Amino acid sequence: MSDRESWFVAAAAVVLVVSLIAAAVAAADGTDDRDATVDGWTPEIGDVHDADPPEGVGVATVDDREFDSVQAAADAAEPGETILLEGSFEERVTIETADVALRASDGGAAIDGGGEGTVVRVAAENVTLDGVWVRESGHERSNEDAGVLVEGSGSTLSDVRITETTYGVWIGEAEDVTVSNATIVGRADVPESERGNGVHLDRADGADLRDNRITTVRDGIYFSWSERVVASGNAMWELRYGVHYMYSDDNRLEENVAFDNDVGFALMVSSNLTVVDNVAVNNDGPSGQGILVKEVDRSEIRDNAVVANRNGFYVYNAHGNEIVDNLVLENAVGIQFTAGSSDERVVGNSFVANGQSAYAPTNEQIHWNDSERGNYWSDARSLDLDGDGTSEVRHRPAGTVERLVHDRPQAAVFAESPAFDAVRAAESSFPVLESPGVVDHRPLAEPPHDEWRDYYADHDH
Amino acid sequence: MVDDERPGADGDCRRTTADGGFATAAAAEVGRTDDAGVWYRQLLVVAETEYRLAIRSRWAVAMTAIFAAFALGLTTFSGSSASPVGYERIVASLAVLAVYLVPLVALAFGYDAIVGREESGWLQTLFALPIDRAWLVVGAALGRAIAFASATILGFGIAGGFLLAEHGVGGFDVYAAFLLSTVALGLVFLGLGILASTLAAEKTHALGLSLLAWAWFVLVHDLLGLGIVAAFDLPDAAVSATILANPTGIFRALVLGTLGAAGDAGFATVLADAGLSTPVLVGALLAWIAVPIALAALIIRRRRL
Repeated sequence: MSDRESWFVAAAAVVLVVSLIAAAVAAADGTDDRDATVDGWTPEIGDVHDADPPEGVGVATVDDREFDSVQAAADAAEPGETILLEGSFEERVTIETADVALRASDGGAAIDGGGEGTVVRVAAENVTLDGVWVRESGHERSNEDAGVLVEGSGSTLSDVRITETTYGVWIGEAEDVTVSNATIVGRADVPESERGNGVHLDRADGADLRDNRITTVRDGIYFSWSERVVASGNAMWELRYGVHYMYSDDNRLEENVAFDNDVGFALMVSSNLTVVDNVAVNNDGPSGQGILVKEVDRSEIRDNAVVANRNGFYVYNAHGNEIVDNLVLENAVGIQFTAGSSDERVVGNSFVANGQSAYAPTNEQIHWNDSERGNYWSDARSLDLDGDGTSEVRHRPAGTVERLVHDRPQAAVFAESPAFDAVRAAESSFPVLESPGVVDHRPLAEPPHDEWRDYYADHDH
Repeated sequence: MVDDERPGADGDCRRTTADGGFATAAAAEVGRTDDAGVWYRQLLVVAETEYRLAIRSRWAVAMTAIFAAFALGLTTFSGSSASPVGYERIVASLAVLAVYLVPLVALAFGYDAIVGREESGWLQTLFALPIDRAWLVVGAALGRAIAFASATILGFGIAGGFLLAEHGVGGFDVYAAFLLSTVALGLVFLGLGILASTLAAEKTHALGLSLLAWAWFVLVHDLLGLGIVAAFDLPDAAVSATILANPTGIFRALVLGTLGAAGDAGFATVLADAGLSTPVLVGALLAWIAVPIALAALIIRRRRL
């Protein structure tokens, strides 16, 4: 076939061979140069295990007097005095003098509780504990064995390192306690159900928790009956829940990062919370939720990023909340809405590349946006004819086919088929078909979030 | 147009025999030498004729242009999107839309293969030759299949070239797998078109049959399946049967089921539960290509001109 028709099949053969060679090269290459994923994303937190205990026998100095135990120094100190600690102490301490500060010297200081009870108990007000390493509390969860138990209002823990404890810091019935730059690492060899919490707040109103790093405990920060608490800039990973609110109203959660937990931020049985600028990534344990909103009312959940969790948001019997301007990226289900949640305002969120954007087992239609603009859905067919930034076609992120796939997973074999698209298109286009589920009347034409790219960056930590 | 398509009418087709047209040359060879009567030579001559006709009638170039425009439009010129772009995601979107376009083009290309030739009088000539009619059908199918496969590979290959330039070679195997699956999908519908062409008495009937086949396999089958899955608890075997009963379903399973990050997790799980591995799917797709053509080859013997 050397005539004028054979060029066509020859050209096709060349293209085919080139394609196959390129494919073979790509397959043999085996590099992870494939599509970017968010797997393995971690924030910059450093290595929490990278520390050596201070050497030498412990010496506590108050003015010019030297003591060989922290307890003796604390008892001898007057209010307003500073106790300088150096070296290792093996004791359990109760501080009953108000307004004293315990500071580690440049050589470092450690207090080892020997695996019994609570290591440091702060029973007086306005006590400062700075730079000290507290280790080896007792193992009893029911005894509330903690690294540091704070019962004095206005006390401050800063730059402390708390390891091998059941509870890290327990703040009980004390107001305005500050915990900042603490590193809390629990016991890896203890099963999760027998671990305590990293920071446990029990009626600890007005606490300020800043820039702490918490891992290998049960819940990172646990709230019970605590109000006006600000938790900001904390990093929590490899826990059951990163942050866990119970019966705690009027609190603020800001710029925290929770990753590789079962649940990132569990907001439960509380009201009037402000949850802004937090990041929840790869929380895919048995519950697997980025932000759990369970029986929470009148709260503001804004500008958070929930990425690569099983459920980005899980909203359960929650009422009157604002879920606004969040980035919901690469979750198996973007937002699950269940158990009669009502009066939610869900606008300005970007739902990008989730397995399923939304799921709502309900017999009613949920209309989320009472405003001029809805949410961005990366899987929506948006049609913005008048250029106002919102689509003229409504979007049904959780409609008939989504329910069907959820109820009968076998139906997933028809996912992406023209039949599926036809049902979806009919639901979106013809308001005649009013099936239950979620309706976004004004889906956004362009995503309001740009920072999604950050989560696909190289993961070389 | 009809005259143009007759190979004998075009003197440009140079062969070693003296009489210029290779179809008649084939007939002459059949009469002259012993090995010319061997079935595969007959088959190849018919296939070659069909292929040349497809190129000369501009069908091949037109299909290439359609596929290239479609693939390029989707991959290069589609606007910004809020998720990272890579081969898997591009293939995911291409596969979803190729299910509509590729079968339609293949059916349009195949439906007149027999009945169209009859209406132009060419089939009568072929039937007069001492060639088994079955080989005429298989040859026609083979020739068109080569033209169609070439057009598909070129059309999507052009887009693939742009993608290679943009995204590099890493992950291109996904695109190559998509390319081969698309060729197979098209060949299934080409075969179905030829079957319709063999069954129909008139060209319009063949066109109607083809459109019915398109509507059934692309839309109705899955809608019904969706309804049945919604209504009943099906055993896994029934789910596999629903997939295997539809070539577009097999195609989607082949292409989308193997995607990683961009794929549908539930989809892959159901495929695994239903026991549909890649070899099974490939085998089913090949059977979907072979069976309609074989049927057409059997039915042609009963055809009256």
